[in-house]
Amino acid sequence: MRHSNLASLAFIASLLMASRAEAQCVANATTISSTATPSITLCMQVRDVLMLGIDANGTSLGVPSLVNYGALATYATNATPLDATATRTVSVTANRPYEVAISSTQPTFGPSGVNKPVSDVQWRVGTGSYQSLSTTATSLGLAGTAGTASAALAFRSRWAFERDRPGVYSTTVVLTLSAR
Amino acid sequence: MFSIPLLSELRLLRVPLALLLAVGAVPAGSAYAQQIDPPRTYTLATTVGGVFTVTPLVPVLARNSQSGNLCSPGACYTGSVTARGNSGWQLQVKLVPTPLEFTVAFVRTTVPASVQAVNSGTQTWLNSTTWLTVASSTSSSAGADIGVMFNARRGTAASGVLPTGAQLTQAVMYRVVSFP
Repeated sequence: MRHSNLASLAFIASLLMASRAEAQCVANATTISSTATPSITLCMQVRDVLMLGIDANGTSLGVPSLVNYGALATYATNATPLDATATRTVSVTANRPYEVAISSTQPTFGPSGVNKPVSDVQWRVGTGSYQSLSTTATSLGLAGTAGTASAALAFRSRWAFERDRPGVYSTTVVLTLSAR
Repeated sequence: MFSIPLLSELRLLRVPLALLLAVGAVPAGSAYAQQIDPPRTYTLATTVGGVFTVTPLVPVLARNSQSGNLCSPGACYTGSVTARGNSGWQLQVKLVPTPLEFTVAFVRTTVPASVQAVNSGTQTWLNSTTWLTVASSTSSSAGADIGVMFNARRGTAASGVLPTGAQLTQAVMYRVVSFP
């Protein structure tokens, strides 16, 4: 009888070693004792859970008017920024530290023949300072240790007379959630 | 006879049972599983229309001493405006309203304003209903400076006078529209 149990133990232990080479979850069994109270250690591996949400899939940049336009050489500083029609809410739920990055899929956008730099679009979170959009992922400043968080994401744009002629302008923004 | 398993047997099963529970809690496969939302894409878009302007809206016209058959009878008045547009544009003028005391013609000349005798060019009489195109560009402009010249003559009515620069300034209006 005792030999049988020991054999079972050895067999299960070998299975464990084979299948859980990378697992970090370990069950601690107490030393067998004739006087110890029987106990069972429950152990489970909790995986990373990071969820990202945004309350809409798009926003209009608004329709630029005269004040939003400037000469190509100076519009980036002289033209009045055009606020997007709506501010969006980005939300994160995570069980471990995280951060959110923002980027664009293309360096320029605009109708055929127009190459408007995506950096003409700026974003900010909450009441922070605006930063230019780029194809390089940039931290949104929305980061935390764990739990649930949300923040308002706003966009604005500037326009140049010589380049930004009438037409349809559309660019894709990517929000990436990652574990830290 | 009803029998209860020996306590010692339960103790021997304790370790394998704990190990089995631990193994069962590990996700399938040896990799450490995660649930991280994929990047979210977000579209920023707008449709831009034509943006045109002329500044100042009421440019000052000053009477000058130029002569020549385009400035006589009556007198010539000159001023300058700046046209801006995000595509090709036309600068147009008309009277508002048509004054009774004097008549006004737009003088199109290649003679520099510094030349005293303005003899080469054309005169086009203005009214308050028809916009006259006086300058144009097939491409966008952040600021095209345009000199304008008008010839005003005393009206045929008994109240007819030769206008002052201020009177003519208030009688002419300007606009910039898309190049057709």
